[in-house]
Amino acid sequence: MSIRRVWILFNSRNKEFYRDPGSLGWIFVFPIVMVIGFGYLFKVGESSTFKVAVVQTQFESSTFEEVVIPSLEEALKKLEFHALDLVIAPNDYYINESSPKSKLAEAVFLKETLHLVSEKTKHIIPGQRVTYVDWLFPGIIATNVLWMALWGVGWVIVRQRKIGVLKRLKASPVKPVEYLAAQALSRMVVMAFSGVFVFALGHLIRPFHTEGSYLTLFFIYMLGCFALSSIGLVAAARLDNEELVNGILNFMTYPMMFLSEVWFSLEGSPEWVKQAAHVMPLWHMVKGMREVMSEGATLAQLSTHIFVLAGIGIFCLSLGGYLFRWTKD
Amino acid sequence: MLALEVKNLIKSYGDVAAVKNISFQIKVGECFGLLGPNGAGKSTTIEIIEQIQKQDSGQVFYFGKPPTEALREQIGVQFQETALLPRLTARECLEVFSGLYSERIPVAELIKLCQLEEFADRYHEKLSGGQKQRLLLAIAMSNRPKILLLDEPTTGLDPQARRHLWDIITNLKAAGATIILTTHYMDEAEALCDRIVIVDHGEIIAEGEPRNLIRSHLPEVIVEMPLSDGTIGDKVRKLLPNENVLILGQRLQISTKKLDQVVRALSDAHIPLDGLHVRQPNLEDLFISLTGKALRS
Repeated sequence: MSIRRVWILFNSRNKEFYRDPGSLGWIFVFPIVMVIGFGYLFKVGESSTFKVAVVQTQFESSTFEEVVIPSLEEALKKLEFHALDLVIAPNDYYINESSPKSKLAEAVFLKETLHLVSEKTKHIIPGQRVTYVDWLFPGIIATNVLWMALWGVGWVIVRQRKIGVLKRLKASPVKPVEYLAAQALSRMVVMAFSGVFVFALGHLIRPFHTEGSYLTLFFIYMLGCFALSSIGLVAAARLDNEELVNGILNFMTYPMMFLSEVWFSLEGSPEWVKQAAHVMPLWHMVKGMREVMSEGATLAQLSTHIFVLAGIGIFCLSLGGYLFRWTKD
Repeated sequence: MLALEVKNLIKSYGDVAAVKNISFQIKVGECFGLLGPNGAGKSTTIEIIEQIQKQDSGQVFYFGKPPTEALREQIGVQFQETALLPRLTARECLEVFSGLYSERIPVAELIKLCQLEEFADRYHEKLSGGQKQRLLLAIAMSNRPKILLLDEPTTGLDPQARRHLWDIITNLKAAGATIILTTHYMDEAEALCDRIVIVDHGEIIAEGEPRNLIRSHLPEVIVEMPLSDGTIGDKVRKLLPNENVLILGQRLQISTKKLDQVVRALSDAHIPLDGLHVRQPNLEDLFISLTGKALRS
């Protein structure tokens, strides 16, 4: 393997990327849109009145903003993620012990309903240590790079094969592994910038508390990028049809998005669904990032995620290299 | 010394036999042409030589040896249809491609050699057909190749751009390069090639030096005249039963060794001689006489 050739191809791929206003713009515009949406979510969660769900009972108060939710189970889920501050049921009321606002709501509730309270039993919901927005944020960062990794590597290689770039390279001394390494590396640099950019932008809107080290967070993020890019290499190993590779990438992306607890928790899902999630690189990436951010996990504590992500990355890189053909025949 | 030897190449795509048993040899310093109409199997042959495609059977030898991985360092390739890495300038394309080889001609020299100065800093996507072909030729030359393989280097170019490219190739020849080129332009082969093979339907139908080939196959001169009305063809055929009379589109063509008698017979039969002209046969005529069809039809 020649480092010089990898460097040359890496640079030319970088130029291709940053000279295209479309793709360059997209990596900034897409996160901005997401983060603004995210900021809106946060604002909604930040309303000054207490949000109280009244389930299957009557309750009137001037202090509370009442939300009608028919199912207790649904209300409790929202309470767990700080979307509600208090849940009042016919004989019970529920608070989230990890939310200061929830405790405050309880105090107000108790004061207002002194005459009634003897009739209600207090319940404490364990609750997440983080709000839903905090919980969601690593998922947003990971989704952002999911597309960049798979399409930025997989689709680009297939297009280059289709238009004949790879045929031209085949006639040169470049080895497949040099070309593939250059593609994956170039993409990982873009994803590193993008990840830092989204994180910083999110921070501007609402400073996050990151319990663990930023370096560990960056490490697990980049390892995730590596695993996802390698999957892109496998998808692109032989095809020369953009539509087909598009379909294949979508086929891989959607289950990964839904099963990787990006937008919602799989708590309460059947066991097989949870097991399926554990083979998804995106799940390990998101989970690892959440553990660093909310629990301050160290590299040692992340060892399972690191092992799985590195394993998937190395396996797919080798498989992609083995299956790779410059031209279709 | 042989630069290249091709032995009994065979290649099919499914049921379609693209190359049927093609063999030839090329000496060092020679400019060798593979001629034939579109679909004759020229590109397949040259891509097998370049190791881009795999033959079903047959062998290729470079300087007497089967090709190895190291071969890529020694050959320069210009494909008929190809694309360069997107969004690079012509100069950057040269830097990238020459950078991939261990032996290389400095980029500034390549730019001068192939006359790219005017557009060296333009994106290659914005180049005209002739400019792009010159850039591709420069890329093919960038590793100081021992053998240069050019697949239809002037297809689609206007006459001026073709001449321009011929000049560059002629200079390369003068510098002693071994060149293999495919073309369906007979004048190109006559102007550039020391030796040619004519390929049709995947087979070689003639081989030799262009002038010798023409002389041995076509000792006649060619009389051409416009077909002023539809009946003239039949009249001439009856008039000259022993000559080879062809109707090619709106032209009538007579190949003959007895120019004097032919012209007199036409004149005596009051066939209008306006627009008649006489010329030496060329490779196009040779192709027609070998296959009975025009090259670009």
